[in-house]
Amino acid sequence: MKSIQEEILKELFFTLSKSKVFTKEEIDQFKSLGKQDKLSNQKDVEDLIKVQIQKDENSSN
Amino acid sequence: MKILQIEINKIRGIQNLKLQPGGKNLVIFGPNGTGKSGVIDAIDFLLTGKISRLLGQGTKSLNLKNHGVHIDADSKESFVKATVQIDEIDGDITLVRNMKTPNTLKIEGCSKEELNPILEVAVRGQHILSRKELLKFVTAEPKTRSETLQTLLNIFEIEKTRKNLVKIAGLKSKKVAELETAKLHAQTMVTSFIEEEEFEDKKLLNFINENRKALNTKPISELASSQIKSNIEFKKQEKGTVNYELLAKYNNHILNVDQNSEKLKDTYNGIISTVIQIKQDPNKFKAFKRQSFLKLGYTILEEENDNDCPFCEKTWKENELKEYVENKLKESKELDSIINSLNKDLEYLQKGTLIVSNAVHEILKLGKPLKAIKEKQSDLNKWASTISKFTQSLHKPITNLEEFKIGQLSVNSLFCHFNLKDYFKTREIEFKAGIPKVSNKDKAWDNLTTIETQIKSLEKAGENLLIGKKEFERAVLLNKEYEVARDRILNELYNSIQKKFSNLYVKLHGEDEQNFEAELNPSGAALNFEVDFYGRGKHPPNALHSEGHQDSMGLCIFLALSEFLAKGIIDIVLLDDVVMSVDAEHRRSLCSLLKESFPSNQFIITTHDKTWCNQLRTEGVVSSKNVLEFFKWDLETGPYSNKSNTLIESIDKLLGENNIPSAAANLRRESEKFFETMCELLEATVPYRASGRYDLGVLMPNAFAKFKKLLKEAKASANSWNNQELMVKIDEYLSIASQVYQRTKAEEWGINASVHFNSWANLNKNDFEPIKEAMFDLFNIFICSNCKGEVRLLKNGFKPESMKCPCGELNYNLIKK
Repeated sequence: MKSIQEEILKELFFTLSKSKVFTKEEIDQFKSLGKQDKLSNQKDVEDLIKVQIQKDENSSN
Repeated sequence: MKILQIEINKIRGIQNLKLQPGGKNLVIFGPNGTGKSGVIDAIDFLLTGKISRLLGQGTKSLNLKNHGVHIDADSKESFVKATVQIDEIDGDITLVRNMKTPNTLKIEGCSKEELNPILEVAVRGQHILSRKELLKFVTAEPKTRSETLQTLLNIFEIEKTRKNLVKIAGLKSKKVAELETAKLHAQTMVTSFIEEEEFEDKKLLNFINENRKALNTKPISELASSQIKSNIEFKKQEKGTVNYELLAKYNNHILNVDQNSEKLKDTYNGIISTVIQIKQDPNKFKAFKRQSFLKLGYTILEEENDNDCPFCEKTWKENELKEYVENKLKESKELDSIINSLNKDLEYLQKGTLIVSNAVHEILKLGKPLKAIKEKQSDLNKWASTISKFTQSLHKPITNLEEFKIGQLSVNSLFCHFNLKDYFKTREIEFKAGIPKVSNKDKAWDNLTTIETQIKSLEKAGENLLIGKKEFERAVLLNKEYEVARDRILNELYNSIQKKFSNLYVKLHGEDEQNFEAELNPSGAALNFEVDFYGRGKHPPNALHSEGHQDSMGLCIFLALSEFLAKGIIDIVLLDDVVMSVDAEHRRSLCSLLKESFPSNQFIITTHDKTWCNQLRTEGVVSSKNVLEFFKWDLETGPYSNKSNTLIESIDKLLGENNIPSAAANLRRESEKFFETMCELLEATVPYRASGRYDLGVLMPNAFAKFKKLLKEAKASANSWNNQELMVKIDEYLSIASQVYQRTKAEEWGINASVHFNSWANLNKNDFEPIKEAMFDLFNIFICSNCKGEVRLLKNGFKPESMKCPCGELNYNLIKK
């Protein structure tokens, strides 16, 4: 059976890649979380958002 | 996966039962309580390690250990063993599951990995449909239906993800509010130091540039901590010199607040009485609890400009939700002004405590060399801690009133408890008279140092706020886009299910429901299901449709889901007595539906309805040898079935034992069944009986008479088309049929319906044999040698069109040229 979650994530990541709010690397990390069924884990997702923001700061510096 | 053979040992009401469906459909019929459902339970157990019937609502006290095992058996001897066939895997596979270790499935013939996709689908229950389950889709509350469907579609992970993303966005929003307050507090520190009411860049730059001027340095135009001391060559000469002026300034901050201590106390007590007033009025308190939520909801509705409730995602009519929220907010206008005033008071208190707290810390730092400060260091630290505690108590006074009240002690003793009031008054004099006085340059340097620290804190607070806002933006985007993707994919999925469902339902109900349409609409956590009612709009399925229609809807939606979820993975579909309320005519369509729309499935069907069972057989859903009758059940034996032999085999066996009465009884019973079916298929006329009981003496002659009549009409039709060959063939057929019929001696024993049974039963073996053979020959007159299905009358509306078998090998046109 097709995984509905997989299809949703595929579409989500496609949209996110166009939004430019997340980098390609960040989206790859989200994909990895999705594959591990960890997008429902608060800490994992929060960490990802937080870490990426810090990276943004570094890159702007 | 299809079942070739299965052995059920000591499960539910079954002692030991061996079945050989051979990968084909299987029908078990018999009265209630004969153990039919035990077979379904056993297959369910084999595939999932559970028995669905023992799970769910109203089954709290039921369990596999006590109620899955036969009541007199031990779980060690209770097992199901099956030989199955899986597409793409060569050879047969043996599966065994024991009640002692229900979570372990022994597999021979393939790997667990190869079997996993099948077991994953099975564990969701998409292979079994009972009447109880049937109604889950039709009469269930939208939320329950949604949950059922979510379980089947395995989309709980989706909802978990969505909830997580919503939660994170909520937390980030809260964090932004906290960071905004932190930035405001950092600004308060700056404004209190430069002794201004409001934070303004220009005023701050003026203050900095005045101090830079005192140090003979050019002014700066950019407000940045890195610029405050830029290009200053000055070095503070006398390290350790006490800046009495700065100390006096901070001391003054404390005394200023002290002067307002009564106002602070009044404000504090005012807050408490307002909070109590709100909490004591249930309406006000309820309105308060909803107010910030309503405001946030209103903002979202304005921003997103759509009609979906941001909380439950239900879609409202154009602007209706916005107007509803607006009205609710208007209703709480009075409360709004109370809350605004409360917030102002809290801000006032917070500002006061922040200034005092900062001043204490600065005095401790700047006055470190002074004896008067050293002596009171411990008290000053304790006091600072009390102030800090008090500041913390200022959060959410309404929801945390008890915690807030603790602060009351602190505010009352804010300046008295440590006897510091007099101390600071003495210090005021001391600091003002302090020698040596710091030079203007040292003073300017100290001012710039303090303001540099404060601007750094402010910059950090600003950066944190920026990061917080970015995180919030990302969390919101992630959540929003996830929901958009989810809605699109799920809507697509529901559309495909509803389309398949509608097609199946139309096929089942034919002309009655040609324009039938259904809608599955996800609405937040719920799933609305509405169906067309004869072109009069869409309504819930249980609103206007009959119970029979509801049953067929439940079945169709189950089959539609089955097609989507399990096609090519798990071919076994267990239908446990699910067509009780579907009428005979629609059951025939159901047979076609099962046969034509689901040719690759293996249906295992139980029913207590003999007619339905016959229909399944005559319509070719199941072959005669895969029809099993459970006619009796007892605890010691379990179901008594006639599974082992075909009718002819079982009669021959009885004749071999010279048991003529039993052989006669079997022949009698099966012949009645057969001709009852033929009467139905050929629409033969039988005299009406109020009892509804029709015996062989009535059924057989009338079925045969109608058959002959139709053959004669077919001959007339052939004549009109000038098909001489067919006419000869029909004549031959008619002649053979008549001869066979005479051999049955129907006229002799059919005269007296009440004694005919005994007439057969009293025959000897030699007399009975020819009758038996004649009866079987007569059956074969009506049956196609190719598909083994009976001939039947087909009509176009009321007009007879043909008499044919299911495969069309026997096909007699009844329409004349």
